[in-house]
Amino acid sequence: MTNEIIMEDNDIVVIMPQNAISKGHIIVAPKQKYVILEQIPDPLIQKMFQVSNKLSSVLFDTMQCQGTNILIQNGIAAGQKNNQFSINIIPRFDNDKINFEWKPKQAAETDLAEFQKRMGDTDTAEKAEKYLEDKKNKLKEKKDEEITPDEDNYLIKSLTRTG
Amino acid sequence: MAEMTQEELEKMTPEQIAELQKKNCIFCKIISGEIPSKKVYDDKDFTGILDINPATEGHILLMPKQHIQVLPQMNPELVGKLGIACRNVSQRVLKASGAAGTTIFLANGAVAGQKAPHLLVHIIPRKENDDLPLNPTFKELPFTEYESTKKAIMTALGVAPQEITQSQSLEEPSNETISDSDTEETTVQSEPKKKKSSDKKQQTTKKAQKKEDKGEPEEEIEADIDMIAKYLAGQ
Repeated sequence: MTNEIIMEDNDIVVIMPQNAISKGHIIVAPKQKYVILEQIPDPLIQKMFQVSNKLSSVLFDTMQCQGTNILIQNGIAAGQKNNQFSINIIPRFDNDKINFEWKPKQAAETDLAEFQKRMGDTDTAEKAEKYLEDKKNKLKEKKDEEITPDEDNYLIKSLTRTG
Repeated sequence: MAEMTQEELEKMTPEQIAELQKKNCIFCKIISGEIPSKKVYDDKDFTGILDINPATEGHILLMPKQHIQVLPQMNPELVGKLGIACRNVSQRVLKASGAAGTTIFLANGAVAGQKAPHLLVHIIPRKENDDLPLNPTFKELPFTEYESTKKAIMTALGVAPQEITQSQSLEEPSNETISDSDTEETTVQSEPKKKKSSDKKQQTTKKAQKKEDKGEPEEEIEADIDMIAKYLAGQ
């Protein structure tokens, strides 16, 4: 049995599968169980993207490929085969027989406008996030404020008592 | 700008050419609002628009506001932020489209399918049997070819398994308390032993992973769909 893990740390594992999309195909996966992208916390997705980009650069250098693809198959419909979220990095060459080219459709202006509406106005979505963030921060600040005077009071009280 | 002659272009410095590319970049103009688009995401560093030639309904192009052509040009901090933006956009488009998943696709270079001089991340809502060529098939690579590629990559990453060199095998006995006898033989013996144990370790982690991965396929699929359904219901 060959060992397919080429690198790992506490958070992620880098695999070079023998059963692969192509030669040089690398997979980056979290160690903890996450099935879909939406579950991945900020620091982990940041790290996974950074590692993926680094690996893509390494593929350029070592395999002298002319391009790379980074592909995330998020969900069975997207071709996800394992019950674990992962990022694929694939080196590309001229005439490598890999074809990711889809047929573009012509979208009607009205359909686009309708979908944009469904996605929610970007401004309001951003504002909503910011509002929640601010609220969280305010709550945090409030808590901090409440705690500190209390502690002071307690300290002062105990000091006066002993004094 | 369109009137530039070949000669003039040749005289330009790389910086000037980059500046020219930026000036002529359609996507930079979309980001600035000079060219109208259907924006669906906007934060400090990235803009997401609906692709006017989508692969499926809700196909989004997420791009850095900075004029960057390929991902290796992007600084690590921004690459990390791109990951977060991709997740957030995917989350929203799942909700808006009712799709069963998303494909996130990024091409570095023309052979990889890059068509624009500005880095674009495609976020494509997917439905079962939508026949997009984005579910590549896996095939078993020939062993020697696979091993040599793996070795090259691992070497480049600085994690290649150390080959036993003369000096190392000589150092080895001093590390381990070895009785007088034949040092050379002990080294040879201890070496594979060591390898075996580390192999075993990695095999077990891999096994554990495989178990999760390959377990019972039907349950697996259900779990996955469940996860998305639950996720969507929770929104």
